[in-house]
Amino acid sequence: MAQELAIATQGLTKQFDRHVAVHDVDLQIRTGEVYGLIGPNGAGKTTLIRMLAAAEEPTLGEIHINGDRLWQNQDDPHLKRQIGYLPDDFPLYDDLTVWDYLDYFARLYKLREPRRRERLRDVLELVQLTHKRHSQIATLSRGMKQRLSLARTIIHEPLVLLLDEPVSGLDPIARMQFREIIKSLQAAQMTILISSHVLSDLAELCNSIGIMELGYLVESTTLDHLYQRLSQQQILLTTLGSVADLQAELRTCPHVEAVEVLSDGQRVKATFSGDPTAAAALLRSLIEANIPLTEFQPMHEDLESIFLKLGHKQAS
Amino acid sequence: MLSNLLLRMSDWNPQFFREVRGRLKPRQFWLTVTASGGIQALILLYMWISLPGYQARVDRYCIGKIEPYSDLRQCALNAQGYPSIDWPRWWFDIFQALSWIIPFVLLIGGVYMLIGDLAKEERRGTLNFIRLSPQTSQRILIGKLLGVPVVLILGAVLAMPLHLAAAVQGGVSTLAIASLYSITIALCCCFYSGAIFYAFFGGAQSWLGAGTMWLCYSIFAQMWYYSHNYNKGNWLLGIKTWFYVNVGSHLSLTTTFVIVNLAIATGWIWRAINRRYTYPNRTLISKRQSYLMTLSFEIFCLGFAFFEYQRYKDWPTRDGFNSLIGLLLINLFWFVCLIAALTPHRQTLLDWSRYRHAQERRRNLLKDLIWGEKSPALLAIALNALIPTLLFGGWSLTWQDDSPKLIGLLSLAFNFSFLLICAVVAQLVLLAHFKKRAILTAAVIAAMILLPPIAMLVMGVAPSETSAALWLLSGFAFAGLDYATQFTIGFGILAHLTIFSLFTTRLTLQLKKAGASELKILTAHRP
Repeated sequence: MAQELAIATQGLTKQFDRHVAVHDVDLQIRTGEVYGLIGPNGAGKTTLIRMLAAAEEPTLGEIHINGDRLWQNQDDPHLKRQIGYLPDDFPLYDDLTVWDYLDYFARLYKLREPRRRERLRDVLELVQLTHKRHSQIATLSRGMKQRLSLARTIIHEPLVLLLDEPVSGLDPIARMQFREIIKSLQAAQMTILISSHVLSDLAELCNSIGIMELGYLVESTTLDHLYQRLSQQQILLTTLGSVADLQAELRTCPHVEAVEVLSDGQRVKATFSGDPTAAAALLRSLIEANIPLTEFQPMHEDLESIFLKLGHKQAS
Repeated sequence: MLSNLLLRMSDWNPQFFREVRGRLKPRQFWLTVTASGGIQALILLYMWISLPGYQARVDRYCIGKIEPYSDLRQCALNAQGYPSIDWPRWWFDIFQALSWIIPFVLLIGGVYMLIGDLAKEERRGTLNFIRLSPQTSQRILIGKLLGVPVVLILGAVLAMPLHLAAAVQGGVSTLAIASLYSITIALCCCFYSGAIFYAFFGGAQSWLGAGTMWLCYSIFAQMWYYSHNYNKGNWLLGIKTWFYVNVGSHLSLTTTFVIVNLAIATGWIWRAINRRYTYPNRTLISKRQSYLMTLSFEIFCLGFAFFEYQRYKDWPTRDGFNSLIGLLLINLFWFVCLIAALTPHRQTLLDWSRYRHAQERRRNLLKDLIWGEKSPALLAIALNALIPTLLFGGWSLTWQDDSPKLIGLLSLAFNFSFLLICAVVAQLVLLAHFKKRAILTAAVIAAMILLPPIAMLVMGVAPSETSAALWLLSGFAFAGLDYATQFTIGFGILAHLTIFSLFTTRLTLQLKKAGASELKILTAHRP
């Protein structure tokens, strides 16, 4: 098993009754990577994550975490400390305060004083709940509870973080806060597997993407590779002059396949097939043609469009 | 220093610390102190009121001549007209009242709280998080055992000074006090582990656990009362002899016997709950554990059948056979629990039949059926049932009284066969595609055991020569065997074999079907 792989599965299969929820999945996630798992409801994402967290026993197949074989519920403290798992329903103890709850899990993960207190403070700060540390969990909002669950998941500084739909049901501000936390964890070199239906979030956070459908991992690749292979490049242009002149000039470029005038009448979206050198040449030619450009922005098709293009039906 | 000790305790067992923190908040602490103090005050008040008053003639607490056929004594009055009080007796009664109340509260309350707590943890899914932590199952479960009933333990500890003072004043021996405390602790360990076992078994009704505990306690109280009043010094704690050893004759012997047996039972339950905590989808006990558990249970039960039989001239006592009937009835209950704890559920069997060939460490089928984790439990239950059959069979051959040996052996054979039929039916129901399979299985097995005799008794079909065949088909074959002819017995054996074969064939077919690949199933429907 290659050491740089944080998660590696071989032939991972889970069957519920006669329904195969996860079918022969070979997943490989490199250390330090943020891996997004997408797929329609019932595709097997949660089951896959539960098996990786050792919360579910695979019917067949092997799981390796940082090179070590994972067995379900085996008393292997070393391996258990490497994994942090946040399920989609994040159950909590309502009778405890925020501090007591985290303190309890810190003790369960064998954090000793004074490191424990220090870690609790850091984690509370990271999830922006320091001001709520003495509040009863029952009094927290959904977003706060979700952040508290994330704090519980990372309290022992796991090397592998498994997040199952962590932003479902959150409002845009809470989602943004959650994204920022994930970015901080990414900076701390944690390997993160995150499943979500909010593809714009994944596009912002992930290095790699896996697509699951009917229990199969149908796609598993880096985001850059996915864009390169499947995304149509587009250039957004804004002019102060005549849009017709801009359109005419664009059509002279062999790499421009289509031009669309946007609703405000001053902006144009060009479908472009060239590389960055060709894009630079196009920009130069437009300036030389005295087009008064205020914006020239090459961009990809977003992840959701790619996903739909692949023929999957993603519930967003 | 105290804070350091607390810190060490909390690091040693975070689960215990969490339970204490969640349950022993200032409000609960003071409530417990008040409740414990209140109950003690009420007992004292009641006892104070019970004291004989001015010019009393007879009373329980007077010093004087004992009244015939009663517990009362004649009162000797002093110059002012007040009776002399037998204070040691008064204190002894306080000691006795507390000796009943403390275990009662600890056992019933503890069982109730533990079942409720674990059922809640399972329902909310929080137990999974603890399970995924690097703490060992032993540590978490000890934390639960000590932490969940911490309020009750505190209440009991607060009552100890009065209890001990009453014991000293009442002249209770140190041995009796030590026995009482050690048996209470052993009982708590056993029944608290049993409560967790029940909760892991899927039981969420804490009132049912507490109710059962109440019933057991009442039965024990009756046994104690009987042994205390009618067999003083011979039947301590309701126990007489065990393998001819008169364990009920001396308090230290009785206490040791009870504690050793409770420790063995607790040990088995403890292993089962640790296993269930670690592997929530597996059966409650492994096949390997089941053989040893059955052996120790059967030896424990058999021990009570060894006593000096009473012999009356011209009067059949059949003590050996009657003891065997008792053993078979207890065995029936044991095997219902064993079948429930050992029979794998549908998903496990589907995985076993479908993917057994793909397992890394594949062993041959026979070994797999005897030792395997996921294999059907039928052969394992048969081997378990063979243990009492051989053990009791060997014992019945040594009967020296007027007990019928052949009927005893036939009873064992029919019982063995009936248990196998129950096991195969349980496996079939658990393999079926119902939502509440576990409850349905329990209901079906209970119906198989209880309905035939109840129906026959309601319809007035008492065991007789004409109805013997019917009784042979039930779980109470011993009732019919006395009246059965050779032909009826032959019919009974044949019927048992036929029923068992039919169900086993059905189970084998179902397992083969479950083990078929998707392709095989698809092609099977093609013309």
